[in-house]
Amino acid sequence: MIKVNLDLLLVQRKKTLTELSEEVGITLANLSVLKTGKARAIRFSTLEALCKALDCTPGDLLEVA
Amino acid sequence: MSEHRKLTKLASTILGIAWVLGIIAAVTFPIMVVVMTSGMLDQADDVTVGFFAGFKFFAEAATDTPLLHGHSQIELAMEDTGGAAWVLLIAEIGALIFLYGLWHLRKVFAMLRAGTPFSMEMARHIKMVGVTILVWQVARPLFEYASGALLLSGVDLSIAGLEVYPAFNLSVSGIFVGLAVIILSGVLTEAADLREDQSLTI
Repeated sequence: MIKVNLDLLLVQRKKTLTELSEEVGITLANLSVLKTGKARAIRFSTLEALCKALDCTPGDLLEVA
Repeated sequence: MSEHRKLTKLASTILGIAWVLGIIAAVTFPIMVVVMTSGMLDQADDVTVGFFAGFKFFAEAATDTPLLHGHSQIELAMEDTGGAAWVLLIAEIGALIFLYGLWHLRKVFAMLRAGTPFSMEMARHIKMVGVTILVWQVARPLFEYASGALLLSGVDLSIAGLEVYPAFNLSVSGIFVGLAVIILSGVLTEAADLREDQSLTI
């Protein structure tokens, strides 16, 4: 199972979900789906945008639980 | 409004009318049964009941080869209203099966109109429509046979050269339609799963 560390990275970067949503152009609802672990897949383009916004690597964002 | 939406709206309206008629029938049949069995009808009042029957027509009473034979919907005027009451009770079960299938079919059209065709709920409703068709296709000939047997046991049809008996008329094509609808619901389940995958891909 893949765990998304979005909440942890948001705390470390001192950003809110709303700010991230505006920055990467993903709806708050979709980011919420990602944060709560309900997402079934993530596009490379989304992953890239999130990594750029959070200044991290895909490995920081995703981990095998 | 697109042709598809117009057609869906028309079908929903027709199903709505069929639903009301079905409810009326389901309420009326038991009332008629009570009226027939409570002796409220005069002895002179005949009750005409239609049912599916087989027949053989012999040109001469002595011959064993029928000149004409087959199955047909026939109507009998019953003086004994008790037999007709049983037929109406059987018809009530048919009406309830019809209403159950119609309820699911109306849900299908309501979801189509709401713009949510690919969902698990839609697949479930379509499956239940298929199951109802299947049950009905098996139950209908049994009901007709039972009605025919009940009615024919209560009347004297001793006409020289004519044999009438309850007929069992199973529709194989109807059973295949039911099975096809159930299979379709399986395809829709897969479609709903893909849709969910798509909506949960960020």
